[in-house]
Amino acid sequence: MLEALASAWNTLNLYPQPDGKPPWERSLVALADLSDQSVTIDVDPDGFSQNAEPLSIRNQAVGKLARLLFMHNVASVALTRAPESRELAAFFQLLGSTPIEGEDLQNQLDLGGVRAMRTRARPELTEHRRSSARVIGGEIGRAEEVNDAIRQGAVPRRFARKLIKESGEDPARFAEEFCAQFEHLFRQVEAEDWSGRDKIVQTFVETFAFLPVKFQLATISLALERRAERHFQLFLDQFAAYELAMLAPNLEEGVFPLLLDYARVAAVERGGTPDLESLLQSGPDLEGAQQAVVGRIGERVAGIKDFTIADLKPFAALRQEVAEISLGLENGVEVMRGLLQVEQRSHRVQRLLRIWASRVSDAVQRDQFEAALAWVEGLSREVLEVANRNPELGVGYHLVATPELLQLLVADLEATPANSPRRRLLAAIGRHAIAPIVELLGSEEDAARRRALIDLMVDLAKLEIDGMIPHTRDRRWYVVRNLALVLGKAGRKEAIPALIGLARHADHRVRSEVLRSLVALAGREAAPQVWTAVSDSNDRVQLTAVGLLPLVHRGNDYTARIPELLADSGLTTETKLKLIELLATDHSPLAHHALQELAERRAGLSGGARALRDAARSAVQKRQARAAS
Amino acid sequence: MLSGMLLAARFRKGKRVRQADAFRFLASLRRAISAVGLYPLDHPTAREAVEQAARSAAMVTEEDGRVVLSVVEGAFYLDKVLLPQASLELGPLVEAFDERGLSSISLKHPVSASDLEELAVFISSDSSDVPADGTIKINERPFSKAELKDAVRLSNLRRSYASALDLLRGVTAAADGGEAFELTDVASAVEGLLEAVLNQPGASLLLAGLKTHDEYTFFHSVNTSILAISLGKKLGLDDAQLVGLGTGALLHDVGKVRLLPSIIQYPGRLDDSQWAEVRLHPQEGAQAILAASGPGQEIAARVALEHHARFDDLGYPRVKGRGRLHLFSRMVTVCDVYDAMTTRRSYKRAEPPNRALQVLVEGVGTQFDPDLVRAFCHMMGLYPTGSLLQLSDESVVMVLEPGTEYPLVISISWSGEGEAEISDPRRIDPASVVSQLLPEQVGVRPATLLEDPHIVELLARA
Repeated sequence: MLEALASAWNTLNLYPQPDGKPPWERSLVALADLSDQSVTIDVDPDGFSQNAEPLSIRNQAVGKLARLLFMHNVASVALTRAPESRELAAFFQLLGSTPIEGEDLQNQLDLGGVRAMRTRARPELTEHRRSSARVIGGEIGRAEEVNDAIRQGAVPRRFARKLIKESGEDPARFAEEFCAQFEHLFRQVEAEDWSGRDKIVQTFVETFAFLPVKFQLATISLALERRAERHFQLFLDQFAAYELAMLAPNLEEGVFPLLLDYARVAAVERGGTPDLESLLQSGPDLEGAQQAVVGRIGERVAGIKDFTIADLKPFAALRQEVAEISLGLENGVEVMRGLLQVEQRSHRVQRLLRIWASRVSDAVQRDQFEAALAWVEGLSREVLEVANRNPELGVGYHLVATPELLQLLVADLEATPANSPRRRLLAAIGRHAIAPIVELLGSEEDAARRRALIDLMVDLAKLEIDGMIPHTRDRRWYVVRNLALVLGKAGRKEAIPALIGLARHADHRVRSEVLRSLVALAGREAAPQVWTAVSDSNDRVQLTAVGLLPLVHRGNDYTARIPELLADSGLTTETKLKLIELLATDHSPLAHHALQELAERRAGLSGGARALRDAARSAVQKRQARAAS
Repeated sequence: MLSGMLLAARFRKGKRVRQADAFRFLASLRRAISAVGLYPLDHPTAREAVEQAARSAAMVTEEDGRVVLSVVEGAFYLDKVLLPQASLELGPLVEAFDERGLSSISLKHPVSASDLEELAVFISSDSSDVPADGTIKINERPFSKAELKDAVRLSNLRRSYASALDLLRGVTAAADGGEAFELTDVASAVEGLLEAVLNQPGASLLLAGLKTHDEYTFFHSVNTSILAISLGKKLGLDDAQLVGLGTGALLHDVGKVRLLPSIIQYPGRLDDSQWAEVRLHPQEGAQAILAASGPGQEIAARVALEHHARFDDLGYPRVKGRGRLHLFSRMVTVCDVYDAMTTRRSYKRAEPPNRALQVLVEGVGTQFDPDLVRAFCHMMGLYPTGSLLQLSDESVVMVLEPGTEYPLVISISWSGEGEAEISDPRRIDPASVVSQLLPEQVGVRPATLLEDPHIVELLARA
């Protein structure tokens, strides 16, 4: 299935109207054969898997297909029936479009009438949904006595009075009944009814606050004795440190150590602050502490009359900061940078990158290239430091460097200054822009724009030669020819092996360009390729090679081989004439002798041979005339 | 605080308790409407919801035998008395009433469950069947505005507050469903708050003391936004900056939508795994806001990401190479902590305002920016607006204007009918303050006093 999809996708990329093209038709047949097997494959960032086993496919297009599906948040793809040609084309076109935030690809497929392929989106991290009953109101399903207690507890003062009365106004008995009722009702609430548990704790805690002191002391003492029990722990945890510390001086002798123990456990084991422990140990005058707090607050504001920004003497640093407040996009960049640093969940990272890509695209569409550049540079500079983030970053850049966005960036590029934000943005996007620009170059008909694109490609190749080279294996000769030109101009010697490999390209136009670029990059080291090309089957290539001979040799030390070439029947007359021109520039005796010999040929000459003889004669005569003068 | 003070002498079952009963009835009616909308009528869940509403209706009607609940200009009234808390917290129910053309429902004791069921169905659907038992009448006695006792139009401030709440509910629902939301709408709501803060600064701070537990995050976010805008105004930020700040403050906790109820509502200290979940909410919120924000709105995402980072950068999430926290983030941190501490959360009781200020003061240089704490304390005063204080003469007062030296206060006492009576304002010596009280201890919510025209006028003059 993957092979068929990849082949079809490649075909569509080459031929916008793929119907009738053999690879396309073969793919449709293959998919039709598979359609009754309910094939489903899972999508990973870099490839595919099935039943958790990675699928190893050598076709490069498969990897690209996986990345596109991943960017659209697709978890799996299934073939449900034999696809029609139109469906398959629509599937790839949607896949190639920019993912829309919040938009499900399957939804788009449905709208596009694609039924043969079904995709499944990746689930969100948290898929919990509160049950309808809880949304309606937690009272539903709770024991009536729980609801009743909560209702009564809504007026805690009244509830406290009621409980005191029921206890016969005896503090010890009150404490027993209070704690028993609290425990009983707490246990009545279902474990997953968090709202109910919260309300029960609130009821009893708030009611406690309205008790007379002696009732509070009795109750808190009993709660402390049972502090190891979870619900009493929750009860005690509700109070602020000073609230419990206020009771401490009046606790019975045996109870104070329990409070101290609770304070220590709360601080150490459950991450609470050590305030209560320090308050208990210092034996504070808490009433005095209250005044001290007020005093400290007063100190904070002392000396400040009503101030305004013009008179922010106490806040000089703030004044400066207020004057320089930034509301701009640097805040967004800062947030994106931070989020990508801290986020560990891969699907969230993916979503962040989609947001990032949409920001870049949006800015470009608004011609806000500085803004787009800020987004790109803000990501590149910092986030690359995050370990193992590069594959995902690649996905993000792939999202940005779409043909549509690149089209906007390269529009009127020839008129765009060298250091403009637009050019810097293109450079920043770097290797990820290469593929789309290669495509643009392939379809561009306007000569001036083509030149501008080539110049852009040259700039990119200077930075990202590795990303450029794979495209030299493109099946379109004109793409390869342009790339050969670009590689030669970019001046990166890393391109030499690839160019050597292209020296035997099927298309002569490519071979010619490759030769020129090889010579530009390798100089004399390209001599073997040039000599081979002199004998090329195509006359244009021959001529190009001959013209390059002086560049790959020191002085004229190549002319010794020319007579031998002149005898080669595989060379065209035009090529041989060119060789004679080269001979004519060489004033060595060897060259002179070769010319002389050619010039003196007589009978039995074909038209071409005669042309060569005449050219040789002309060269000799010129030489003699120069010598005479 | 734990003085065991019982204001028995001042406690009456009167207007305040009836308002609470009415609120509970409306809340249970809302649940019943949801239940009958989701389940068949004979489903146990739907039946229980309706029966619960009937019990609540019994409590609100038992004293007088018959009450009228009206909706006038976006607010609920019990007979002719405004229900400010219900109007804010049950905004969607107000809208549901409006949509079905209900301006009043008359309840006659004892309200039958079948009538309640029909009312719930009527509101939740296109049904034209009105309650048939006669214990509930629809639009029988709608009050005109002129007849209403507390005929104060819901102020712009309250409207802005309610709009911000509704907006947050929508944003949270969208974020929970992984859908996009419009940050422009959020900015509009913040502009409403900003206008209110600029026009009624004292009343705004009083309203920022509005507390609720069930929708804690929403109210907390709006309060934090009001506090942040007020602080920003004090520092001289311009309107555009205040909107950016207010938006960041309003959305700073939007990432909490991802937290399970077992964490949000856990009534105790969280364990490590629970804390690990909580610590994700800044980045969750930042990502959601970043996805929704347009150019110039990204500051809100930064506030969401940084509001737990701490001044000493030892908070969370830890970002390597991060520069200074944004000023807005540091401001929201201060306001966030203040409001959180003065609100009852599932794991902690509420604390009086000046205790919250104490925490801020003790945390300068570590958790909080020293200069911002100073500015915040100056703005709030020793005893912030709305603080309830017990004086040495045992009187209870509420602070209208903090003042750094002599706060302006009003005394609160209770009439024979259990209604709060307000004295003329006077200045007090802070040394006469014995303790600070929580609203539950006094039996009054300072924010609801905003409905008293006299209070509004005093705040305007303060």
